[in-house]
Amino acid sequence: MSDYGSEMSDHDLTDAVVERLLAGAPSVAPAERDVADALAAVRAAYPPQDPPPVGPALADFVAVDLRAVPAGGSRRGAADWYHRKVAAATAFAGTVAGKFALGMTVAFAAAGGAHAAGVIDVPLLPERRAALVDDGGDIQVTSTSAAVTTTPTNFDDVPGPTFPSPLVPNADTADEQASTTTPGTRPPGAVAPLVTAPGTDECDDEDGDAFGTDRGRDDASAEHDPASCEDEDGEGADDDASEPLDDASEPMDDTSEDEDDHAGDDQDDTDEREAGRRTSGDRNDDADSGDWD
Amino acid sequence: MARHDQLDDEIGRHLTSAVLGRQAGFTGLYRCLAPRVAGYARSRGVDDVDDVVNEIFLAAFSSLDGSVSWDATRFRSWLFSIAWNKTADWHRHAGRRVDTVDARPEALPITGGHVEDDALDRLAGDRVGELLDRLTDDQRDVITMRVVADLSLEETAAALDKPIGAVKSLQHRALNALRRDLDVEPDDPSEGADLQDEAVSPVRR
Repeated sequence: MSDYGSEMSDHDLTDAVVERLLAGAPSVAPAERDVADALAAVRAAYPPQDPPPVGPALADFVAVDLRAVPAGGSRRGAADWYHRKVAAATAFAGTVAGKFALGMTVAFAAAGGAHAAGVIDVPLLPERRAALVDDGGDIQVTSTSAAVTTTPTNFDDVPGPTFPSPLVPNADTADEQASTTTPGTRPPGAVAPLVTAPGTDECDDEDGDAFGTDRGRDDASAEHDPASCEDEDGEGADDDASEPLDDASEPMDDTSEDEDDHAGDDQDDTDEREAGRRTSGDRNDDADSGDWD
Repeated sequence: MARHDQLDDEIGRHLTSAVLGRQAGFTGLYRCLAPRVAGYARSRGVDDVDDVVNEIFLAAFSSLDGSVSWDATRFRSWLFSIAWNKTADWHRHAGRRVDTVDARPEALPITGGHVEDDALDRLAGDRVGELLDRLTDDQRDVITMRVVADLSLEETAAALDKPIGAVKSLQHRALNALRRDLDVEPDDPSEGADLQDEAVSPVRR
C-alpha cells in the first residue's frame, strides 16, 4: 500500500474536516461520524496517564541544581560562545600580525639588497664598499700594486697615465709600490678600475687571467729572465700550468739521468737543477737529450 | 485552542527555568509532558513504559542546550522526536530481550476491578490496534502524533522530520483508509476475508 498515491480516489475529506477530526471536535458531519468515532477510540485507548515514577538516573540529574555547577546550563553555552569568539579574534589578530611582520621583513631585505647592489641609495644604511676579490688558495697576491686611476672623459687632455715601476715578486717591495690613488677624482660609490702595471701585462694578459692568480709564478720566472714570460707556443696558460708538473718531475728526471750519466753525483744535480731553472725554456730539450750542460 | 495556549505558557515558563538549570524547571516539564509521552509510548507498543519515558526525559534534559532559543512548540516536537527514536530502539532491543516472569506472589500483577469492563477495554484496545495496524508505518506515525501525542501539524512535521505537505497528505490518506475500513461490515464474511488479506500487519516498531 503506497503512502502517497493509490488512495486518492475517494476524496471527501477536506483539510478543514481532517483538522477537525484530528482535533477531536465534537461537531462533525454524519458522513465523518465513523472516522471521528475511530479517532476517539484511539484517543481513548491511549489516554494521557499519570507521570511514571522518576527513575534513579533521571532523579539524580534533576535533583542536581545545575545553577551551582559552572559547567552546565546556559552559562556553559555562553562561556563556550565567548571562548569561541575570543579564539577566533586571537587567531585573526595573530594572522594579521604575522603577515605584517613577514611583509616588513621581505621589504627590508629587498631594500637592503637593492642598496647593496647600488640600485637605490638608502640614507640610513652604510655606504657600499668596493668589491673585494678573494684570490683564495695559497697563491700570494701581489696585484695590490695596481694603480687606481681616474677615468678621464677626454683622454687627449690627460698627459698620460703614470704607472708605478715594474713589479717585483717580493711582497715587501710590492707593498712599497702600492697603488696610488688620486684623491678626490673618483666619484663616491664608483668602482675603482684596476690597472695592472706594465711589465706584468704581458704575462697576465696572455692567459686572460685578469686577477693575476699566477702572477707570482710569472714574476718568479721574470726575476731571472723577463723575456721568459713570452709565450713560446702561444698559450700562456699552458706554460703556467705545465711548470709545476715540470718542477715536480724534475727529481724523477734527475734520478733517471743520474743512473745514466751522473750516478751518485748529488752536488752536480743541485747545480744542474739551478741551471735548469734559469734556462727553463730549454728544459724539455735538455731532459730529452740528457745533456745538462 | 485555549487549552493548548495555557499548556504552552506553562511549558514555556518551565523551559526558561530548566535552561537556567533549575530543578523546578525540569520537574515542571516532566509533570506537564510525561503523561502524553507515556501514552505515545504505549501506542507504539512499548511494554516497559516507565523506563522508556525516563530515558526519553533524561536524554532531553541532558541535551537541553542553553544557546538555543526554546519555546513550547519547539521543545514538544523535539521531545516527541526523541520519544519516536527511543521507542524504536526499544523495539529493536526487544527482539534480543529474553522475557522473564517473576513467579513470586508479591510480584504478580494485582488484577481487580470489574471483569466486564476489563474485557471491554481489552476488546476496544484490540480493535484500535487492528485499525492502526491497517495503516502504513508513516500513516500510523502521523496519526499517533496527532491524536495521542496531541501535536499540531507543524509540530508533527518537525518531530518526524518531514515536510508539512507530506504530513498533511499522510494524515489525509490515513483517515480515508480508516473510513473505508470502518464502512466494511464485520459480519460480512467475504469483506472480512478481504480485509484480513489486505491487512498485512507491519511489525510495530
